[in-house]
Amino acid sequence: MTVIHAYGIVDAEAVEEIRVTGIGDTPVFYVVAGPVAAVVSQLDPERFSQEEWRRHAEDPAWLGQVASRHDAVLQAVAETTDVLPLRLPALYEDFADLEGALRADNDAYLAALDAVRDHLEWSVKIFTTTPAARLPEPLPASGRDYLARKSQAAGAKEEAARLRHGLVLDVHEALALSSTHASVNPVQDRALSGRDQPMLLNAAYLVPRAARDVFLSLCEELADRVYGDGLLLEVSGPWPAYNFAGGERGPGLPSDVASGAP
Amino acid sequence: MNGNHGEGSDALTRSGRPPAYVGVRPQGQSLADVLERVLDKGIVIVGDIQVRLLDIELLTIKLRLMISSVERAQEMGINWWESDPFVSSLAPEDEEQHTELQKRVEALEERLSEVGELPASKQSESAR
Repeated sequence: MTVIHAYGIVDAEAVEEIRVTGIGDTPVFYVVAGPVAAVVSQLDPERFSQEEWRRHAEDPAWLGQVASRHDAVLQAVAETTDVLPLRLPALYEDFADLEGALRADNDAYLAALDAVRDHLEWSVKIFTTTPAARLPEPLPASGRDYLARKSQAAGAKEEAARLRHGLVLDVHEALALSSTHASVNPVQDRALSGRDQPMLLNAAYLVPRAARDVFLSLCEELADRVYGDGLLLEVSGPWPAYNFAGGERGPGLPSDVASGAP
Repeated sequence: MNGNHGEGSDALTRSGRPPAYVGVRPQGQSLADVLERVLDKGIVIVGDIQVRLLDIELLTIKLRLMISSVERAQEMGINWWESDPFVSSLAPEDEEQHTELQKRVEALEERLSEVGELPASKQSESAR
């Protein structure tokens, strides 16, 4: 039995020699179907049968390795040409099936490729730099004093959260204006980010390859501007255009931005 | 802008903050970022063999739990995460966080099995 895994879709004319190894150390090549081509590799049918995929569907070590290889292949392809990432896994039993599926939707893939042409994705995250401020607490003179102080503290905290929320929206707006598309994803909590500080923004921006330096300069400038207010802006990239490949999510809305409330 | 956004620079910028950049790919990404994209984004071609993989949140937490023991991960021959700055800074976890993560895994698994989304198979070792 044959197991073919497809990583992404490129323009047929962009096909060129590629030196990256795929999942399970397999050679990566292309399957051309009209104007588009799939980036594929042929996997070991024993190690990567459907049953093995299902069996490892809950196995973090196995999946982590496979996911990071899938990404590494797309990353290598994206260095030289535009690529539509496919969701993991994209498995086929024979080349004819894959080619047929690609041909059936040629127009849609070309349109999706056009949408990311000459673009790459950059990830921008914002974290708070400081834990929520602890106000000094001398003994209250009275019950009324205690209550007043408590409501004042709550008000100050709310105010700080509001200020941060506004700054995060400003940053997002500035980045969205200087990119072709923006996508706001759910913020990752501590367990996912591995950080102690809360994440306030988890966004992706589709940026023209040629505008990379301009975009990064803007990030640098924005990072400077918000750092004094306790926000740390981080950029990573470039990524293949995962968030803009026409998968399930549409462009993000600023209302998705977290308020940073604990 | 000199275009040098590489990680590993200790220098602080003029404003006194650390550099804004986690780093330029492929080194500067986190595991959660990769999983979030690879498993949840990207297009699906009609006609491929459908294999439903684990919920990303659950998978990431399980991974963190598993690699929280560096030695154990090395025994298993896993080292690709060593280049992940977030993950490697996290390992080994303190006991408290470890327990907290394990509770999360249990809660998530319970939720998923209620919805019936989890493939019917035995719970993995790390979740016990």
